[in-house]
This record gives sequence, structure tokens and C-alpha cells, in this order.
Amino acid sequence: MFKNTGSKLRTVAKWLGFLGVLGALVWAVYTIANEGDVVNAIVTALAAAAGSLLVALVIHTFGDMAVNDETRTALAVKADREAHGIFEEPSKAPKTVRRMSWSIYMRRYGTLYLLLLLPIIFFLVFRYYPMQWIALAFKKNDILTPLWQVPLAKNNGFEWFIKAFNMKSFRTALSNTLTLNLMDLICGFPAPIILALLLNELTFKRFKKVTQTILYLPHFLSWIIISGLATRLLADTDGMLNILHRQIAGSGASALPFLSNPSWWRWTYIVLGIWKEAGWGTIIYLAALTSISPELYEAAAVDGAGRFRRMWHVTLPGLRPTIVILLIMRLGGILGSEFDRPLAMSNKLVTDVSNVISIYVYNYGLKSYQYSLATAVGLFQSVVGVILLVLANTFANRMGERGIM
Amino acid sequence: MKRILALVLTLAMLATMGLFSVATAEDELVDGKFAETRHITVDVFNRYNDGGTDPTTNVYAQYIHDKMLEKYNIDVTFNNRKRWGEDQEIGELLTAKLAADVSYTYNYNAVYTFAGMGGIINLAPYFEKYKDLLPNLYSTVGEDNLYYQQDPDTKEVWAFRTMLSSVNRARINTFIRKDWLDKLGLAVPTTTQEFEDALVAFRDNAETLLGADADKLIPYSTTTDIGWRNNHILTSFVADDLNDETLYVYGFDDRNILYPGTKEGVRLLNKWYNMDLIWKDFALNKQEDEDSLNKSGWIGAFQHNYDYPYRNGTDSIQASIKRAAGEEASFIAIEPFLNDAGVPRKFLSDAVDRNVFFPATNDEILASLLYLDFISDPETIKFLQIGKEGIVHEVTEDGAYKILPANGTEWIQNSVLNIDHTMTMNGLFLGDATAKSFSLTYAEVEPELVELAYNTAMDGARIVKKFTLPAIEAEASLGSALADFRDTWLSQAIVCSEAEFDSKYDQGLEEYLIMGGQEIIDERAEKLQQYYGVEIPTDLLTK
Repeated sequence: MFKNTGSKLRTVAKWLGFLGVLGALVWAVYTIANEGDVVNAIVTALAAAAGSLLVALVIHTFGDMAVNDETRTALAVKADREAHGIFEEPSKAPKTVRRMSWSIYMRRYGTLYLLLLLPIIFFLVFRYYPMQWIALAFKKNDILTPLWQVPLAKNNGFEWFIKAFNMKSFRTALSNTLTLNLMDLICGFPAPIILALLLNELTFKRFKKVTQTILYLPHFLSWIIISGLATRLLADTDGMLNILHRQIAGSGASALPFLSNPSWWRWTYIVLGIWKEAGWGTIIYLAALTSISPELYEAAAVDGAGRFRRMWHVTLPGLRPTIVILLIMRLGGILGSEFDRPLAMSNKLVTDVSNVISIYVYNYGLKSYQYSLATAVGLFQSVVGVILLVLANTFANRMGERGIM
Repeated sequence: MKRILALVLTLAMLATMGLFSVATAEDELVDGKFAETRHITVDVFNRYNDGGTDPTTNVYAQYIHDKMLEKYNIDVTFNNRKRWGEDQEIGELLTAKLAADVSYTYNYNAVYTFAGMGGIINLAPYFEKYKDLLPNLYSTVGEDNLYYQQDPDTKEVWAFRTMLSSVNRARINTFIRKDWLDKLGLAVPTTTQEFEDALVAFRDNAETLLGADADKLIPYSTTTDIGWRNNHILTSFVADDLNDETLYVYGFDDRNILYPGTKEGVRLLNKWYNMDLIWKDFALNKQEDEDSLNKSGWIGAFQHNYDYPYRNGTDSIQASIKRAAGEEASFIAIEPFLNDAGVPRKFLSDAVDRNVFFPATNDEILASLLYLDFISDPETIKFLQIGKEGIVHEVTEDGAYKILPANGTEWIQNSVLNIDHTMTMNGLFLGDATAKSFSLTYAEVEPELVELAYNTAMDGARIVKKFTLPAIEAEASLGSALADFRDTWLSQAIVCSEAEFDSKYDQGLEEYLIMGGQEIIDERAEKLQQYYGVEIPTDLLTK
């Protein structure tokens, strides 16, 4: 039935995925019939299906690798035979010629599977298994009773969603998340690209390395430390910048409210974010830059292109796939929010603009023990995130780029 | 087949025996002691003080452990809890089913919310059943506190309130630098206006007071916990003739911020902020930052816990400013904020403190109750509070106990008088010696200053009557989020311009009420009417 290990693996993967989804469906129907708990059944089935699809995908990828490898081996054998004057009949030319036994396959790729085992366990235990508690978003606030025994929340289970959308604090958190992430995207996304382009143009190697190291350093500081630095540097009266400002503009000058005025605070937040992460972000672009063939630069130079022309016509197009993938991922996370950054940077005077969804979830979920409400908000955030991700990916495909799906 | 059957039957028999022994052994005390060693876990707050010891293993923990083993054959393990952020931590522990057998928290909402999920044991039947075995718990904590939060309908007790010692009833004080007043020839302020004048004088004479550090001077300081840190200013604007029922309905917030009238207090703070009398950066900093400014001797006046500058011996604010500004430097307690009846009113609570509860995972209820009885024994409390003679205390001629700084020894206490170990008693509890020892319990502080602070904090005290009602549902779900928002709202109202004050304050209040404040007021009023037949209007804040 199977021609070789690669396609065997692919078939196993397909069956596993199919059976996983089917099993999840059957399980869902069974649970609904026996326990009448629709929400729990659907959510758990979704988690199970997603889990089996993940495993299937991984096995499929290995199957692909094996097929490629076998094809390469077959072609090499064919070329070798041809070099020795042995030509096969065209009609007999196989797509793949050599069967690889399980033992050889596992000897060759076993360690890779072993390496993959831990991440898979991690994802199953910490990502897929907990997914069943998404059902809590539709249930009474009870995190101790077994999930299937917790009754549905009011309004057919939508009590917490209705409550969240009726709360001004949630709507504010939602709009703050969008505003800060969009500002971060517009200002923060191009920063590492520009920086990478500039670094790429540096010819004095040692200077380039020192610059890079200095640029990477802030990435390793936690936001707690940065917020402490920010207070000492930017506070209204004690902040170093304001002390300097008073010395220059006179002691009567009003303070520059970097941290105490909501609109100023937003920019402080964005700028500090760029300062912290732009350098680190260049790594991936610099790696992509190494894959651009030097011949292209030489050809462009021969054609009379100056530095900026070369950047525009060679470097940037070379970076385009990387940029697109990172952009898609950023767009997928536009409703997601960092936690430690706004929490550490915020203060009571700017909470109107600094409270983002993660802070809202923290305040209501962990600090007020409203686990169902927090789960509902988290679920909403994830669903919108997935939709945005798919949209961005489709858009990228339309533009002729390889997306991530 | 026979062999398997025999095995199954043997296993079943063993299991039944095991179950049986667990079921009966609970009540099996031989001469007041368990025949087999029982193991329980008990919460203790860790304040992570500089130079402190680990409260789960230090000499005091060891003392409790050894005595419990000797007296009841109970092996006690302490569960390290952080004091700051404890209410969040207790939620995490209960969720993970890792809470200690004997747990405590300042946040009753946590207990009540988890009780609704079946995560807390109803103590009422066990109090009944084991009353005779718990003489110390009943005498030290008392029935009032044990049943303080009992539901009048279901009779359930999810947590009992521990005791606040007679000398710990005091809550908040206003402190001012006496040496600065003397330097500027000012009398101790006795009215709000005189207090304001003193702050203005501090501001205008910064060079005289601090010399080269003049630009660091802060006449009056606060943190964003506005309701606590300015309590006496705010409540001095509350009408004195408001009855207990009204104060109950508007008393959800423990900072009294919902009492009708407090808006004018916030307005006064806003005015002072704009007059540069209040620390400009208060909203950007934390308590620790303020403490370090205070210890540097740059702050002229503030309100805080009634003994705040005197706490922590050599590390206290009082001892620190003496080191920074000379021997004459000193904070004294004053009471300039008089209400409409001319009284320096202070709203105090009943003699209740933390909530002690047993999570549903506790399967050693009797052992846990015996622990509570042991820790409520006056002898135990005395040892934990005053430690070893010659190191932690000395006895004066008239039989009072004077606390010594036990710095650098294993006897150092991690909280004032070890209040975190004396779980059921907060504050000095030395029987007859309590009153005369009280002012001597602050190492390195003159006893007269402590007495003055205590008397000032208790002067004009008012305790709002307790109404026995079922738990207010809205409070359990919204409590923490409202407290968080309250600080934001009040901080923003204080730092805005005077012209903007009304709109900023009203807007914040409206949002607070929409977030759930009004729901709580309504539910309180409704239950008060249902159980006591008294009707209180619920729109006093917006009228």
C-alpha cells in the first residue's frame, strides 16, 4: 500500500488528523447527548481537534522532509548512473526510486522526533489541555467545581460578554489596547528595519559590532527596571530631564509631563518601547540580509546605482518576505496586549489611557476573582486576533507574498 | 481467579479499615492529645523586612511548632505568604487548592467568592461541636468575632474575624514636624486653617528649614491611597449628625470615601496641590519612595497609621530624621481637622481584624481548631509578642514590658509585636500589663510621643454600629476593582486645576457608581430595610 516512508508518514498524518477531528466530533455528540452540556462539549472537542491537527501537521512535515530527501537521493543515484553511462528507459523513470525502511528512517530522523517531543508535550499540556476551560466564559464564576458540573451563566451563557461590553472600563481597555498597539505598529515596526538597513551599510566591522551590542542591551532589561529609570529621568519635579528643563527655561517653567499627562505618557510609552526592542528586532532582518546575493549589489553598482538606490532596489526587496511575515504576526497580535509593560509604566494619573485588556483581565480575573468574566474577555481577544491574522495573511497572499498559512 | 478474588477482597478490607480509622480518629484525643501525629499547614505573612528572619522557621515559628507537637501531637508547617498583595495570592492558592489548612486574609470578598464555589468550610457546626475544647479561642477572640460574619438566614460562617487588641483600635493620625514649627515660631495647629498656614510657612521658609536641600522640601505628603492617607481631612467634612444606618449604607469603602460630604475634603487637597503644598510627584511614586523622602527629613506633615513614624525601631522614620536632622527633629501627632460640630472625628472599626478560614482541602479540622486555640492562649501570645527577656524586652520597675531592638539576633520580630504569628490577636495583649507597657513597645521612641499618638487617634472616636446582614453580593464581585478605581479617580481630581475640579471629581464619582458603587449602595440599603426596617435614600452622593 505504501511506497516509502515519507508518504507513509504523510498518510498517517492525514488519518491522524481526520480521526482526531472525527473523534472530537463523536465525543462532542456523546457529551451533549449524555450530559447536555453543549458549551463544554464544543470547546473540549475544538481543543482536542486542534491538538490532533497539530500533531498531524508535525508528522506531515516530517513526511515532506523524508520525501524530499528520498527524491534527492533518487536523483543523485540517477545522475550517478547517467555519469557512468547507464541510462534508464524513460518509461521506467520513477518518481522516487528507493524505499526507505522504518529502521533506517528512524535512525536518520529519530533524534529530530525526540527533540520535537518536548515542545509537543509542552503545547499539549500548557496550551491545548487548558483550552477546555474556555468554557468558563459561558458558565457561572466557579473555578473549583469540575467544569461539566458548573451551570451555564445567565443570558444563555453570554452573561459575561454582555457584562464586559456594558462596562466602561472594558471599552476603555479595548480602545487603549488598539490605540497603543497601532501607535506601536506604525512607529515601532519600521524602526528595526531602518536600523538594520543602517547597520548593513556600516563598513567598519568593529564599530558595527559594538553598535549592535549596545542596541541589543535594553532588550535584556525588564520593564520594571525601565519604569524605575523612567520615573527618575522623567518625573515632573524630581526627574532629571525636568530638572535640566528648569535650569534652562528658568525655575518658574512648568514641568514637561512625560509621565503624568495622558497624551504625553502615550508617546513616552511608545518611545521607550522602541528604545528597548528596536535593536533586538534588527537581528532577524540582519539574518535575512545575509541571504541576499552580493552579486545583486555588484550588478546594481555596475548599473550605476548609488547607496540609496541599492537599498531601495536590492536590500528592501530582499527583506520583503521577512517584513511581511513579521507584519502578519504583529497584526494578529494587535488586540493582544503586553502585560508587564503597561503595568509597570502606568500610574494613577494616566490609567485612562494605559489600562489595556491584559490589565483589565488581571484586575478582574486575578484580583477580584471574576474568572468567568476574565475568560470571556480573553476569548474575545483571541477570536478577534485569529480573525485579524487570517485577514492579514489573505491580504499578503493576494499581494503575492508567502504568508504564514 | 480465586487468587484475584482474594486479592480484591483483601484490598477492599484494607481500604475500609483505612477509611474507618480516618473517620473515627478525628475525634480521638487521648488526654487532650492525638494518638497519632497530625500534620497541618498554617499561614504566616512574611513582610521581608531588612535584616528580618524567615517567619516560617525563625525562633517564634519553632516555638509554636514544638509546643503544638508537645501539647497536641500536631506537626505544624508554616505556609509563607507575602503580606503585600496577599489578597491576590490567596485567590491563586485557593484556585490551585494549595491554601494552608488554617488560612487568613484581609479580604473577605475572597473568602465569600470561593465559598460560593464550594472552596471554603462552613465553620459554624465545628464551633458548636468543639466549643469545649477551645476555651482560649472563645475567651481571647470571643463569640462576637467568631460569628461576626455569620449569615443571619443560613447561619453559615465562612470566616471569623480575629481580635484587634484594645490598644490597636486607633487607626490614623496627622503628623507634623514639631522642630520645624518651633524653628518658625509657630504653634501646634488646632484648626484646618492653622494647618494650612503651617504648610504655607514650611513652603515659604524652605531655606531656613532645609538649607541646601531647600528644593526638596515637601510641606505635605500623600500617596495615591488618598482615602487612607488623608482620611481625617476628608471625614472632617462629613456631617456629625449622620446616623449609623446612613453611614452603613455609604460605608462600603473602608476609606470612608463614600460618606456624603467628603468631596469638599478632596477639593481642599486639590487647592493645596495647586498651592504647591502637596508632593507634586505623589502619583508617580510608591509608599517606599515616600518613606525614603520622609526618612531623609524632607517632609513636613502627613497622615498615616496612628503610629507610622514610630514603627521599626532604628529603621523608623522618627529615628531616621533624628540621624538626618539632629536630635530635636521629631514628628508629633496633632488633630486640627474639626467637623461641623467642632469635633476631631475619627471613624474607627469594631475590634475586628483579619479573616481566618479553613479551605475545603482542610481534612484536619479539629487539629486546625486546636491550633487556633493554642495561638489564642494568652501565654502563647505573650511569648510571641515580647520574646526573650534581655534580648527582645526588659521588665521595668513597675512591672511593664519595654521592647528592645533585637537587631542582628535571631529574635528579631518580622512585624510589630509579631502580629503575623499571633494570628488571632493583632496588637499588644499582655493582660494587666498591657496599658503600662504599651508606650514602651516602640524601641527608640520616647513613650510620651507614643501615648500622645494613641490618645490623639482615639480622641473623637466613632464606631458605626454593626448590622447583621447577609453578605452583599455586589461587594464580592466588584470590591477590588472599585478600590483600584477609587485611587485613580481621587488622584486625578487632586492634580487637576481648581477650575476643572468639579467636573473631574463628578465624572470620576459617576464612573465609580456605574462600575458597581451604586449597586453596592442599593443592595446595602435594600437589605438594611429588609432586616431592620430602616429606609435610607440611595442618591445622597449624586443629589
